[in-house]
Amino acid sequence: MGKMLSFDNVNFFYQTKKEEIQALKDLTFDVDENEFASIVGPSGCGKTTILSLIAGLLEASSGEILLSGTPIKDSDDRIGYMFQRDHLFEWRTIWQNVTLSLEIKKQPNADQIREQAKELLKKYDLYDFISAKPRELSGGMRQRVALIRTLVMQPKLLLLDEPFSALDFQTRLKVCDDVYDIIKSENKTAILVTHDISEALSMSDKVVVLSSRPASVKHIQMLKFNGETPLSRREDPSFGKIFDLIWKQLTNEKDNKQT
Amino acid sequence: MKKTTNKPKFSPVAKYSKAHERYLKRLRNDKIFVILFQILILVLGIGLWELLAYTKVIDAFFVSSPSRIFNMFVSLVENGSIFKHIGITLLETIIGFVVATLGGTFFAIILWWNKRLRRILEPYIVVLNSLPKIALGPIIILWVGSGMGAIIVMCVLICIVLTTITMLNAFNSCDADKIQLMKSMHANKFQIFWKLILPSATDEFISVLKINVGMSCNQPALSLRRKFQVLSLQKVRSCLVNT
Ligand SMILES: Nc1ncnc2c1ncn2[C@@H]1O[C@H](COP(=O)(O)OP(=O)(O)OP(=O)(O)O)[C@@H](O)[C@H]1O
Ligand SMILES: [Mg+2]
Repeated sequence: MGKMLSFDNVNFFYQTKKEEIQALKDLTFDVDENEFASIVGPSGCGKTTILSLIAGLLEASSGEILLSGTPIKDSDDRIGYMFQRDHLFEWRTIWQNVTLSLEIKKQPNADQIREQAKELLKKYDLYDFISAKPRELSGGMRQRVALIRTLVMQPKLLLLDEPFSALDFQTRLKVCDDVYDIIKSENKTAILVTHDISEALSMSDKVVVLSSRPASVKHIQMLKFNGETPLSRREDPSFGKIFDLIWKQLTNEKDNKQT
Repeated sequence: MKKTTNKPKFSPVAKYSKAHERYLKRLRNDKIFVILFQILILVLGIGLWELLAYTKVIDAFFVSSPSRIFNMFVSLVENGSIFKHIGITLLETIIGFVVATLGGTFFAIILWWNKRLRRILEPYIVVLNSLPKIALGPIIILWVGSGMGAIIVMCVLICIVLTTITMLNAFNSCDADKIQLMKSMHANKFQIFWKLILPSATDEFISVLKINVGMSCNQPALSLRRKFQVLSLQKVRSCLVNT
């Protein structure tokens, strides 16, 4: 398996009028192709900053970020970024939302992508709402639409920034399963940012634990749970043990901060 | 047999639609109530005005009265000149409205596009906005004469600053994360504007349209009243001369 993404000693500073805020410090980790990686860390440590760097919305102050071996700037690999809120455009129909990226960048195989989008909408019971406006949909449905909109970009790498945090617990488990299913069946590489350890464990092959700001890698945990879906992976006997381990890494962090 | 065929009528859907009907009826009644009261206020207002003018509590020479206006209206309709006046007023309104709305939105777009220009011009826009434009009336009349031109310029002046400010605010209040989303799809600035900023400002644009319709009607309406007054003065004069 090749490397999809690698961070090598990346530093990042936010510039504000008052001061320079270091968000990332010597950050080093990588994500393999077709791997599902999760990033967990204390609130405000720099998780969103990492995703913004990968998406090219920010530029690293120092260090190197490679996407399939080429620097992010020069890479034309597509990256799909899914935000915490769905950010569906209220004035567009579901279909127009889903196909937004096709309007922005002309694709040679646009028809094929449209067909694929229709299949996905059908599979997740959204096809009947294709000409509805976003406000007619529930939170879980909207989040699924947002994911399909991201997939229409044909990304090699998917970035998910706490995409489930606005959902209630029941919906959250269901949407997690759906998202996991979509990502695995489409053979995507994904990076999920979450503050929910069990969510990270249930979905990913690798968990990257970050320190508080400035974020650096504290621990990397490889996972091999039995189970086809996030829900069934939670049943794995070693799930609880690894949960404790990561929990300690995170809370340990908080103790250090207090002393 | 008959009973079984009748049964589907009592489906849950029917029950639901009854409640829905009640709801619709309440909505309708509410609407009727509001409209009735609006009419009532109008009638009372006009009645009071007429009464005060009739009893000479207020001087109808300056504030006119509903019956006078009605008489004037009838005489203008009789000699046909009302249509000319209305035509001119309408033209002034439409030109003023269109120029101000498009111009203001255009300025707002320029200022959204160029942040530095926006910062440079900000104090001037604020001053322009707080300036009572009516005060510019004499200057405008000196510049463009007292005809239709002056009215249109006045009308545009009053509406354009507000339009610019409102639209610029609307553009700037667009969710930053949505802009990030567009950027993550590699949208260029024009696409961000066209597909996100502009449509997300639709509500504000509509309210600007409403305000501008009102305000641009105002200006020519003032002039229309002036024409009426001139006419009525002539009438008064001719009355005086005759006696
Ligand atoms: N535009 C900005 N300007 C200045 N500082 C910023 C900016 N954006 C973020 N920061 C700071 O950088 C740090 C990291 O922010 P970031 O959004 O990456 O954190 P996060 O881990 O995603 O937090 P959360 O868990 O709350 O989502 C925070 O302490 C924040 O205050
Ligand atoms: Mg964040």
